[in-house]
Amino acid sequence: MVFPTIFLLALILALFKPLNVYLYGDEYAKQLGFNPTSTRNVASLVAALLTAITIAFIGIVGFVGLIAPHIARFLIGSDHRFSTPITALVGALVTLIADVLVKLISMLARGIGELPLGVVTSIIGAPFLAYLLVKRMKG
Amino acid sequence: MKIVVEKLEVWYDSTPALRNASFEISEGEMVFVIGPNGSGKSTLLKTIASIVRPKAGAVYVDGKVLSRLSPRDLGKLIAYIDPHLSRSIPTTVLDFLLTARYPHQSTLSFSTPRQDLKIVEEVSKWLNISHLLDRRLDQLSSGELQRVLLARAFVQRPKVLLLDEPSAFLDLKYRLEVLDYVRKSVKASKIACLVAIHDLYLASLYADKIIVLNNGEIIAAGTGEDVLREDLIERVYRVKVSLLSINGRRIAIPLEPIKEAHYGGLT
Repeated sequence: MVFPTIFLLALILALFKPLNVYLYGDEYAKQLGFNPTSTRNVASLVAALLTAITIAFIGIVGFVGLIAPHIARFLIGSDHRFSTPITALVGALVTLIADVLVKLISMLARGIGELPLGVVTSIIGAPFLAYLLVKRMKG
Repeated sequence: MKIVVEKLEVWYDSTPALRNASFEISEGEMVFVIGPNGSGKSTLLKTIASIVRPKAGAVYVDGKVLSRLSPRDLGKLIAYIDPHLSRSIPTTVLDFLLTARYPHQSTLSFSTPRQDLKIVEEVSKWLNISHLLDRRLDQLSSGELQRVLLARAFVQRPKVLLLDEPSAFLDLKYRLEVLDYVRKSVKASKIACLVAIHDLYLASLYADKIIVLNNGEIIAAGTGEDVLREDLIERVYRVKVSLLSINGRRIAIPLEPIKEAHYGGLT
């Protein structure tokens, strides 16, 4: 578990520049000597495996993966060298806050017991998804 | 850098886009490609940029076959200005310009070399986009974006420069300023430059050589005086023109489209 994670994190370091270039489209990436297809495949694979490891440990928490990159990009811009670590931190922070809220709720209202973490993240995440969809439709 | 294009043939599935194209560009030379829509101008540029694979023929850069070069070397060598840039994810102009230095850096290095920032600063001063550097790419006007795209090409410091419609969206002053800057850099850094353009007047102003494409074939090639002839333009563009001469340069004024017999006009 520790070694696969470290290995995958090391792979991310090699993906910063290809991803930065990939933002501007396949042809642009190709022109600067990066292979857009392998960038896409490797990045998706790494993301999928890292997500799988996390989920295997803490269970399903919805919408964090949707909110965190957007907040990070809003905070620091879209250069992956900076936005990737910030995304990880923001994701952890959002989950932590959600956890604190869940614990508070279960303390205040004893009858309910402890709610799943996903409830709180969904309350933030679902409207955010709706906002993104509306924005995409308008643009 | 000297480019030799030999018997280039490009097909998109079963449609021929370019047939038997052969020509040369010496270093420090600006060659302009003109021709109607769909004549293969962009295809020619994309093939030299190695984005499109030719079916037959080859492109030689300084005697070396282009397809044998590694992608990384290509990135150092050739800059192709693509007017279609994906801008769905907001990034700043500075971020965009810095990506053009990537072929010169190690993929794993994290820091941005000071020298790269200097190049960006220098180029953006020339093209008058210094004030745009921290703006978002999707909030620029078409003319500003066009200048940013050009700046990207120069930040890359290529030896071969391929420009697709560099004058599009630019106002009168910038058309001249931008092409002036292109010519100056081409001469100074011994770049081989190929420009696809619709503006025949700009072509006659800046071209060392003009290539006329029609239906994927090179119809004529030569200096502005050789190529910009009334009969040739009328045959290629299917429009009646009148040529004016100003300062020894020829300007084609389109008068009316030539009615095609098989279209039958509007009746």
